[in-house]
Amino acid sequence: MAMGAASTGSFSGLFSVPALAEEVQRQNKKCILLWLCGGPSQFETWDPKPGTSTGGPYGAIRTDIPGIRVSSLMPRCSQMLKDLAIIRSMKTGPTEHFQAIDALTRGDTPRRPFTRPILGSVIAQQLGQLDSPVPQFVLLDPCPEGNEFKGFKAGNWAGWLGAEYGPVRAGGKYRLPNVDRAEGLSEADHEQREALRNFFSRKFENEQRGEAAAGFNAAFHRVKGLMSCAPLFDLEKLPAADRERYGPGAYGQHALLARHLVENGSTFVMVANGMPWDCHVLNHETYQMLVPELDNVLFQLIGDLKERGMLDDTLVIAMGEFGRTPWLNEARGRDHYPNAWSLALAGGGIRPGTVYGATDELGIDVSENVVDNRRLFATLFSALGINPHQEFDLPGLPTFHRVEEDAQPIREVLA
Amino acid sequence: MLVFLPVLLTGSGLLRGDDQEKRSTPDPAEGIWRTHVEPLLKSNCRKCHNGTKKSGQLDLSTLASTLEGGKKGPAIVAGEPDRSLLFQLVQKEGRPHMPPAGKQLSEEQLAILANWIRKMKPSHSGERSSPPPTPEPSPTWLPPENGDPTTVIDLMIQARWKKAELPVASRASDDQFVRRIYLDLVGRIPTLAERQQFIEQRLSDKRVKLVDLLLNSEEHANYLASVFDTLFMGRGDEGQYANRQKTGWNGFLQKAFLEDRPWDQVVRDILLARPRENGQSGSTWFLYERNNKHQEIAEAIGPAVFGLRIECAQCHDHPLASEIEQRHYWGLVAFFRRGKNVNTQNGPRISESAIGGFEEFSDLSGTSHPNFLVFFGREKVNESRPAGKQKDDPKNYLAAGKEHEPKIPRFSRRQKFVDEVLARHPLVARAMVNRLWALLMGRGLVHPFDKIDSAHPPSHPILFEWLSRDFEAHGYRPRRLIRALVLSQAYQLDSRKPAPDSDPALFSWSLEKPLVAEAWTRSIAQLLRNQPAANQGSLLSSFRSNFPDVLPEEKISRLSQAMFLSNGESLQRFISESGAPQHLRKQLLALPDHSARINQLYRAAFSRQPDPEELTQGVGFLEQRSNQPERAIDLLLWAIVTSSEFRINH
Repeated sequence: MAMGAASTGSFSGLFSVPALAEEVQRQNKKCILLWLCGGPSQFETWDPKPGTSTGGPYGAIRTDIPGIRVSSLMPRCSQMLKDLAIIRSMKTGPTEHFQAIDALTRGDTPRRPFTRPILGSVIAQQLGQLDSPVPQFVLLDPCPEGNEFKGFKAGNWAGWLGAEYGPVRAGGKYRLPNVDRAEGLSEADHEQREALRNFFSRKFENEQRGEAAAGFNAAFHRVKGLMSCAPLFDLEKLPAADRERYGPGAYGQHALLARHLVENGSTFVMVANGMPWDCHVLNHETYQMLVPELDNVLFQLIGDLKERGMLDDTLVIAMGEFGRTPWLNEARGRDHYPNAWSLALAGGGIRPGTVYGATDELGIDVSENVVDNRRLFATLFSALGINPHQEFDLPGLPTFHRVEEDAQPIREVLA
Repeated sequence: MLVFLPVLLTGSGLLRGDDQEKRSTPDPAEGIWRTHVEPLLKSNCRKCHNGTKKSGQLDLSTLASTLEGGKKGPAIVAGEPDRSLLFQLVQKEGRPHMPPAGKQLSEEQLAILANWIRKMKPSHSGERSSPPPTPEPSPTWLPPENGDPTTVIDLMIQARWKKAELPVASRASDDQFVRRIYLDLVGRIPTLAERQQFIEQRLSDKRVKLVDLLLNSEEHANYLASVFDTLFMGRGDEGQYANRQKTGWNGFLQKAFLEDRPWDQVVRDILLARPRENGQSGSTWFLYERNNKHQEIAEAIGPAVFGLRIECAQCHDHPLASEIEQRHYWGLVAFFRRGKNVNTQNGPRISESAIGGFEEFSDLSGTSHPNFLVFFGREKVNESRPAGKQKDDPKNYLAAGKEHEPKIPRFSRRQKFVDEVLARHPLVARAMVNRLWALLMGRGLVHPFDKIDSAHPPSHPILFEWLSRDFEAHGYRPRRLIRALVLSQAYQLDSRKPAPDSDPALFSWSLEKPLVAEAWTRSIAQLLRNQPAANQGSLLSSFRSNFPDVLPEEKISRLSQAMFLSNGESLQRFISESGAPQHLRKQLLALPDHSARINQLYRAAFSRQPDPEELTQGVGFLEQRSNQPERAIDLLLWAIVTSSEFRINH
């Protein structure tokens, strides 16, 4: 199915001039998603409401954009806002993690019978070099747990595109598991036994016409490539000074690794770490640690990409699946809140120094320029030169679009 | 994060921003329109049936315009999906079929529409509603009540083949059958001797004989117990597996299958968790391992016992299968809410309090409801709700029973559950029938196997019903059912898909069944060491964590799994350490030549002869490495046990 999908999925007017221009625009585009799973609070990050009943104990500080303030927990980003685009008017539907993660990583709520691929799978398929040994879609997540996120990770990420567009998962000790050849097994032995395995399996697969057999066999085809680029995943090989700058936490180290991977040929890297942002208990105390780390990581990452001349081609997204309630619960935590929340974008295709949308005085609702998950995804795809409205008419599936409902990208946020 | 206490839900911060006024009994059909029907029509129908295009003069963009209908009249007859044109035309046999161009709404989407129309009050359209019609058309032929189950399966499955007019695979050869039945019933490939003995037999009923032999073996009971452990408890870490062994949980399941205990009794023991004799001690572990997490317990009982997934009903009635209501979710939690893990001299037990557990849950509109003792398909169990705070009193409990056992409340919610909800609940049989069918046939009569609800109609409704009744009528004995399934014609078909577009729900060929971790490692150990149990330790645990699935909804393979098989230490080591005289490597080396080796290996691993091409490849591989014969064999063995032919039961 994936093959058919890929061919149907190509632009119809491939040889027309605009399409060629689009192709050029798409070259070398990359994306890093800093996935803030659990749902970060907008009040303690991009949309502070100091001195109000909802604002919490932290103040707001000036930024390098006159008139714009962010949480005092983000001193570094405050001096880098000219490089970012902040959306303060996110308003989405799902209130529970699983459904919200689904909607905010796939761009839409489920629509059976087909499964919409995750952002990384679409971008890997559209912009990636699929013959490259370097994995095009990488999920860096050292934490195998994470409540609903754990369940979500076990699901079908690549959807109708097919398993080959799913992520390579790494994390933990910052290395890929099982990349080293067993001791005493020569490279030739390793390759030739695989050739034999493939021969046996292929024969079986063809005779049976079995999908499980085919999928199982296909997974082996990427083993050699991944082994060859295992050193890329080795953080130890990166300069100590870099590692220090990103801080001791797993999230920072993985953000650094994400930079390293896109520098070396990955197309989409998603950085996650379980579900730390879900602070139903003691919100302020926890955020005192979480937000400064994010502040630094984002600052380092954007700075590095800029310094390397990669920022224009690399879209950086920092977001979770929803925001947090304006009010505190009995455990002094903030609960899930999809009605009015914020996120940050930077780099490729994004107009820097933009602050889009706003919430009311107490942050209870969006007061201007509502953005939902569809508009967000239309914006992300447009920023990368991917047609957000492409229509798909695949056998056995309802007609669907990359982004439904003709949702319009946010022009003000696009470069 | 899961919200563990229903009381917390009531005050959930999210709802505070909304208006909390209690609406006058909202129309359920209107709610469903907004949340489910409109999005469905929008994405599937509105390309043509919109305000401007109005194909067939039908506009499906608003509730009002939908009810207005089109050129052919009203689209909807309130309360009666089967008389509603909109519903008729989206059926598989609808003419003209909608949506056009070969598109078909899924079963789930059809269920949404039917459910919505059924819930619609007559005021929504001009027509009066009559009582809901029986959903199933009357069958042309009903199997006799006391028929032979295998015969009934064959007739009912054949009837659908005939209707579909699609090619059906031929009968599986003895080679194929012997490998398949060993893998399915005892979780390993047959030994060369077992295979040969079967193939050489000249009896016409030799398949029946083999099935009975395997079904009565301890190996069968132990394998089935391991599969049910995963289905009931999920995968665990090594500590959890050790506990399941130590506390007698594994033994409890093994004994249940070895003695072919009535399944309703087994489930009752697990949920009541009050072992009557010491041999049953492990029955408490289903509840105990969940460590007083009562929502987790309820969410585990749903699929394990009733074949239902109920998580969706935590915050609202199930959106697709609205018969599963929010009160059922919280009711099921309430039945187990008073339980508490205790460690006694007799082992782990679940005590039960006589008081407490009266809570409220809140629906999406913010209205609170008491968590009555009620579960799907059964009347509410009456229990008086105290007005104020309760005080416990020894009088609330029965006089002490067995020594060291927790005291039992006079009004025991768990006892009520097993007596008044579980006993004779029709889903207990259905869940077991569907699960065993899925395990043996590669797909449930209801798919996925643990969603037996109105949104997932069975592929063979009459057969499903008949088998469930038959299972009940014959004392809930798993063995009789398993026997009937594996002796059926459909089970014994060839595994080659007869046509590219064959529908797996017709069971017209033997579907692919990826081996569970236990069967795969047992087969590797059987092949390499002639000893299926020789896989304890790192081989089994690494396969369990890399291949956790049992009956997955989608059979997906991951790159990380291929990496594990290619480079993981445990498999590599198991192969290289299989060097004893009785192990395969040595036995192959003792054979006169390479072609004898390849032949023997194919018979042992795949239960067939290699074809000439395979033989050439295999012999060539060994010849190239004549100076290192042992290593050559190991490389070859790796290629065999990681091949898709080995990995998939077919």
